[in-house]
Amino acid sequence: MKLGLIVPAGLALVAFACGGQTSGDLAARSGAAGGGAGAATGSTLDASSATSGSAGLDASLADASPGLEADGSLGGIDGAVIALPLLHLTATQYANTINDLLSVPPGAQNVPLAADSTAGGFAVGSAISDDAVQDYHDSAVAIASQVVSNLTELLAPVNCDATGGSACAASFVNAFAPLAFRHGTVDAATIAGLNQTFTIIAAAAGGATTVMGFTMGLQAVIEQVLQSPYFLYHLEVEEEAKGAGQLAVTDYSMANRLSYLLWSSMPDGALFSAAAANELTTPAQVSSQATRMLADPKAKVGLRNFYQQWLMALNLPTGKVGYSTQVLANGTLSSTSLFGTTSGVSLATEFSPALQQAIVDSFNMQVDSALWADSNAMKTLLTGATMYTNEALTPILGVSGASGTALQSVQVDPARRIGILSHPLLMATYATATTSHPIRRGRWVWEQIVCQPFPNAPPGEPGFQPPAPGMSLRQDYELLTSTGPYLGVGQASGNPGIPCPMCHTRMDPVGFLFEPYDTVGQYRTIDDYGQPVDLTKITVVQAQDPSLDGLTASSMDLAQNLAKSDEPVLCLMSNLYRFMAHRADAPVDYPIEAELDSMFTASNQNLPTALVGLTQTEAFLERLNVP
Amino acid sequence: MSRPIRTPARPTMGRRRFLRDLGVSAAAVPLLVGLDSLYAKAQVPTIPKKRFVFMFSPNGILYSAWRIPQAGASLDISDGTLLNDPARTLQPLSQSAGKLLVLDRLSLIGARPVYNDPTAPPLTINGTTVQSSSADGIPHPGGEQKGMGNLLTGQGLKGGDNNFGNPGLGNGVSVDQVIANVLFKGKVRFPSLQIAVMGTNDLYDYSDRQVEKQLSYTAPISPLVPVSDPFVLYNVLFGNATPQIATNLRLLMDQTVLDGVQADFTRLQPKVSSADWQLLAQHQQAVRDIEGQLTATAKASCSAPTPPAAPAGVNISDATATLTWTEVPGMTPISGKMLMDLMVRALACGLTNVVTFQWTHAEDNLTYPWVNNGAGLPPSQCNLTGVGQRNMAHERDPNLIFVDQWYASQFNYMITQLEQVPESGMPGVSLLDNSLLMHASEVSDAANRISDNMAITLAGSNGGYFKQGQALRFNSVFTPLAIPPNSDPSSYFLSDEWYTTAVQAAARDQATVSGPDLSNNDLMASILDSFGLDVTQAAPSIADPRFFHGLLPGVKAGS
Repeated sequence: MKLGLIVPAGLALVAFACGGQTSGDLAARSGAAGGGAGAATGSTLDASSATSGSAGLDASLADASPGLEADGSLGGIDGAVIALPLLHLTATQYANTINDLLSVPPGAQNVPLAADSTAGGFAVGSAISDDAVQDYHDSAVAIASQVVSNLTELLAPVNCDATGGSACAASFVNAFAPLAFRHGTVDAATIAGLNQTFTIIAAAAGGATTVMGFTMGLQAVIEQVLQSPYFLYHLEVEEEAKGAGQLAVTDYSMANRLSYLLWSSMPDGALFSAAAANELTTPAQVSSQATRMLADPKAKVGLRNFYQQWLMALNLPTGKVGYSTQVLANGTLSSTSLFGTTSGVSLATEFSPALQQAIVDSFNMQVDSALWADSNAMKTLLTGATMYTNEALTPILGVSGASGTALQSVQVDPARRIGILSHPLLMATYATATTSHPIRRGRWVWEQIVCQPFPNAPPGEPGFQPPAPGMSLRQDYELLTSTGPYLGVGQASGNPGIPCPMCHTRMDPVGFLFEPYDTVGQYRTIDDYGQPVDLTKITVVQAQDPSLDGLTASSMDLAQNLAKSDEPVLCLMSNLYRFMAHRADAPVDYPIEAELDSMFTASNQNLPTALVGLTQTEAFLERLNVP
Repeated sequence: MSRPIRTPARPTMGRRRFLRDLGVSAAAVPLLVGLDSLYAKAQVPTIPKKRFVFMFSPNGILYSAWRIPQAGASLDISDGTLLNDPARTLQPLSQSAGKLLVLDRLSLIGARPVYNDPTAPPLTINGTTVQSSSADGIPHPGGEQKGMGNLLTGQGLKGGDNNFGNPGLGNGVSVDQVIANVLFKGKVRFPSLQIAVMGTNDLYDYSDRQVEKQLSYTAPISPLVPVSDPFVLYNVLFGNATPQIATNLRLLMDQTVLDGVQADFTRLQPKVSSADWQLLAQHQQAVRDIEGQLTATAKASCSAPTPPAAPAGVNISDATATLTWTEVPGMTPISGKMLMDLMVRALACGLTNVVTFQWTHAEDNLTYPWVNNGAGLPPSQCNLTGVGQRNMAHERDPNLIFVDQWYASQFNYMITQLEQVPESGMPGVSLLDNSLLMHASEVSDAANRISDNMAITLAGSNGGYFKQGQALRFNSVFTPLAIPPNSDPSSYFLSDEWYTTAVQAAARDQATVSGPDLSNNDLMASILDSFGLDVTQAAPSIADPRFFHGLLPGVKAGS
């Protein structure tokens, strides 16, 4: 395997300094040894290794992947391997790991964790705060007390009970710690520390063989495991022990890399077995495991974690008013709630949690359906006419026939909406409570779909002014953003500032294409200010792919153009790469991203092919130990 | 698929051509891509250290005894001398006067009959005629019900079918639920708690959705059912379906576990790079700090309390028996104190930040046998309808001072309890400092069923927002209506004569006020503002322009 380029130290240092990490100390890193060796008596429990269900990866990888070489690695130019900082589990990874480890589903985990940092647009556990550590404590206590309420289930794998006292507890520790810490045999001192905790607490709570003493002791053990750095961090100490330089990541560290990339959770029994048997060493072995893992239902959970961040579609804002504005025969405006209330008061409460959940679920089902299809993933995502609805959602989608709360597939009118771009989740997220928001909608398409980002609005920018009577929202924005240069607050006179049109000539037209969708994504012909929605003379400009430029008649037109362009594919691959690498990308990464583009395209847009491809990049397969 | 496959020869920098267009150098690329600097520290959404506790007592107050007799639009009461008079309602609060903000004469405008009854005569306000209305065209009652439905929602009544048989419910979300939903939902275990101490002499059920009993609304006509049984509340808050862990055992567990966790960190140190260790060292220090905090007062006060002792003869596992016990006349102070103590503990433990604490419901005719040094409420001086707060309130009986002072003393108990709990992580700051407590009733003058010119007491500054040690006066007119001597007080208020008179009186008051008659909606906007929430965004129904004029002037510290 070829080694990749190593990012110049200066560039890496700039990056770390920006993130608030202690800069300048990279050179002082010591790759001290210590190893993971120990004489512990770790055994392995089978961590939910069910592999049922199927994803769309049936074609053999080699057939679909022209970029792969015989050894399974991506040939040609390799991506950058830089020394990454240690990361802890993100909140999502933590929730999924607890679910796999202790069968406490994310919805039953009652202590919310502190927000993660972000890198490259995705959550990463690169920083720690007192609040976060307090949350880990509180969550560990809550989860431990939950699971010891069913000792029978907890102890089933070790086949003993409270009457076994310390011996049973030791069996549990020996089985549980290696699973939770995810790196094989646990060193003897750590095992001894857990057993000691059991002894102290059980004695204080009535004795190790009493139900109370045993239960409390076991609860304390679980609390300790769940707060241990071995549980909370993505440690690769075995790899660090190998000394300085760029080297292949293998065994348990690779098992963890795979499971957290593809499942956003811990490895299963098969991965642990492969790690123990040194079968996660070659790129082909990694590829083979990845292919197996993508057929597991957990891959859907993992991919969802990716695309909810990529599409910035995690939460739906509450408090939507949901007006539909109409012009009455006498010329006056009438605002009608989409939810059947006309008083103009308390409409926000009609945008019920059930409807919001239906919108989120509908979006997830549509994206899942597109991305897990055998082919045409991006094309379907952008232009598919199949959506998912229940009774509550039908009026918003403009379909009929659905009843009840369960979501079902439905064909939408392709003259009014296709794909995800105008999905109510996105339309509602990128709108205020009372009006649509063309700027945010336009910006979202540019940044998330074709990866052409904008700087944030300069400080003190004048802000939105509602349109004058008789003026549409589009006309208003065209007026507001047509002039410049805008002088930011505090800028010296003579500084040309940032001309508004520099960004808005790109953002606004794309946003205007979504004016036919109101604050919750219902189709309309009259905008929030009572003016007809005007889709004439909307020109997309300055797209990286010139084929996207030009007069565009509707959001459906835009979606079709996007589906024909390769920019959305490039953008998706960039995002996948950033998600995999836990960092933003840099020019040294672009060649490897281009390889992923080719693989994905050659596979007829089969996403699992690209996901397996991710595991064949050097950024994934290797690490850089800084001396 | 007909699209040509991209060849590897594609210029790789083309991926980011726009950067070149922006004149950004390649060295800065990692900082700009995705507009997301590498490992930017996320904004950590911490749980606001602010709290809202609303205490309700029924049937209004004896305004003449409640009002501080000194003149002035703003009185400095901080040293307590103005309150420390045995004849004054607020006397039990005199020791806490430095923490109080007394609001004299805000109006529950939305509770006026004109807004609840389409048949009510129009109201003239500053020369402007307000046509009568109701949200649903149904005549809703002119009695206490409207005040109860309006108190925390700022809206009139809705639903039901007529004045008295089925009067409907409040037509809006209540301010406590706005705060709970926007700020605390998903962050604390109980976004809000609804507690109601049971009454004594009329067995009732808070789940029956009668407007007299409901304070907290998640949405129009959607009230929340409060908890009344202290043993149930204990289990809800601290039971958690697990064996109860004694405080000292919990502490030992935390110490042992966190010692063990720290040992894991120490053992890990030689195995990781020094750069990685910096993150782990920071984590280990935080673990050490938490262990220290757990042994300190802030966290010790937050441990689960021992379960309340079962009173003699009460089987607490029998819900019916407990309910019966809490309704024994004279038990209210005991069960009320148990509930207040649990509430304080829940606030101290961060289990909730929003509580509505309701002693009983509007129109309850309690006799308060424990007041007056155990002699109970003396017989009505007016001697018209007999003993009982509801009856006596309808006559403005001077003996109500015993009841009003007792409620003031209960409010003072909440204040002093919260003052004793240190705020975690903020040395020298108490929970009271980071809370807003509010005591109000549903009517100002029960004899008139009027909810204008209310008596409202606030305590705590909610993190420095509210002015303390002050009494502020608002709407300057109050015109009590006398019941004609020859009228039957039990039925007078049902008469057309009373109804018309009351509406006219309200109109007269309005016409005399120079500015708009400031309202509970304005106060609720200020309360939301103290939580960093904009009423127009967070609670449009409270910002209803018929009742809302802006943030309440003068209540913010420094104003």
